[in-house]
Amino acid sequence: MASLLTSVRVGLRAGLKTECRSFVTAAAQPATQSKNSVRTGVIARKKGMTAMWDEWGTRIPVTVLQLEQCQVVQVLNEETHGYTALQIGSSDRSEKNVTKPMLGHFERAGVEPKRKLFEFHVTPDAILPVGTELVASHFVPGQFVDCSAPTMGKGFQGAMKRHGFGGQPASHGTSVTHRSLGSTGQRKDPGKVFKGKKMAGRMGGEQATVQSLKVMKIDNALNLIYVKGCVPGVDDQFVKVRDAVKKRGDKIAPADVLPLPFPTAEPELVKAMPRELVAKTGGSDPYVMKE
Amino acid sequence: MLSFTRTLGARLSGITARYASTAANATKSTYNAPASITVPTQFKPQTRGQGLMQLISKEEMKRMGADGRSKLFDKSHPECLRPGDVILVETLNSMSTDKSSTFVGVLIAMDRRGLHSNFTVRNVILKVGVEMKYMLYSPLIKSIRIMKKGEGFRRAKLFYLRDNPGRAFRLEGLVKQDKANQASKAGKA
Repeated sequence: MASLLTSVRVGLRAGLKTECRSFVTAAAQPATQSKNSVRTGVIARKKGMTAMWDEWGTRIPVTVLQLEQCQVVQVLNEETHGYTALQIGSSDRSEKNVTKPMLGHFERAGVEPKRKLFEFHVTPDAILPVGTELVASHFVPGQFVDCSAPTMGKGFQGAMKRHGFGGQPASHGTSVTHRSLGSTGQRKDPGKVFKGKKMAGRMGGEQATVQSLKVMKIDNALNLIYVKGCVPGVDDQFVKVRDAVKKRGDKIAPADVLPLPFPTAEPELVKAMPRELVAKTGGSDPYVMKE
Repeated sequence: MLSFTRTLGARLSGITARYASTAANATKSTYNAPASITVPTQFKPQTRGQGLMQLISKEEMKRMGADGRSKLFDKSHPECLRPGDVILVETLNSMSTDKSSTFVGVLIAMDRRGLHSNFTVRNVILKVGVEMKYMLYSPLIKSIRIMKKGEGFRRAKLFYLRDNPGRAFRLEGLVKQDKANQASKAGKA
């Protein structure tokens, strides 16, 4: 545990000494991983989409997510904060663009100032020391992940696009109201429009989570995760990537890659890995007729 | 214990080379890929002068186009395909068998999209017009052969052939000749 409590001298402001403190004591951190353990997620940047071919020759659309200086910035624990979580920061930022309160926060952790901070709830056995860098090999090819990000903004949109309303007929006498809401309520009782009535308004820009996306490929040199399918948001968006919540235990990944690196990938193992690792789709050949 | 803790001085840039262990560092832990993971052909990332998506697209093209199919779409190459060529595309029925299907026809469209480059081939089979669209870098494509160079086609996309085929789809003679050529080649070899 000595390495966890190593102090890091920060040279940002002369004369200020700060310590990289882990708030977890040996007594509070259980050593073993159980089936209820939850490990941390990462913050990645959506870089774009491309396609790859799997072992059966099927073309698969993939989204490329890049981990950019993703580090643990703060450990939140039961005693002080009331819950156990890790605050993860992503993407270094120059000191001149960071406010003084935030500079102090990062100095305390001993990390470079970050652009984005998110918390990930973890179980006490999955706590990582402050300053730990999370890399792409935190995830394993073949496992399922959930990706959360703000959706693309669509601006002010009508009810048909925003809520999937049916609109009115295109002809047969309909005048000037083909795409409108129609009725918004009853008559004298209740005599008002209920709060939350679905109407036209600003659409998009809210957080959405796409669940159970398969990790198709890991790139250790460029810190890339290729997930099968689409991820909400625009390119260069910050995306929260976590292990899929709906795939518990053995279902999260193929049996021969389990258990997942806990609490995160070991640097020695990552160094020994080849640069790129691709997941197999598995199953039987879909282009061969089954007897 | 985790030794990934990073000091401010030692910046771990996003581009660190971590490759399979060589004989020199055999003392380090080795990685054995399990059965559900494939290790593709590895390249060294050349990040200068291009963005990330361009880089990975080019690497994937190099990997999927190792048999030289990129030259078919390279305008500066003498063996480049042109709209109007009569080509024969041989596709594997599946990745687990060696059986293949062939399709002969006139190349009516070529779309240059990097890794997603594709082309459309049209033929009239038993009085029914059939168009097949192929992804150039698909692993299911076994070979692409030019049977006859197109002459007199002045468009990039020959969609007008759907309505005005003329003599463009009289290809039986070509197919017979090609079969004879292939048989004689097999005989010589």
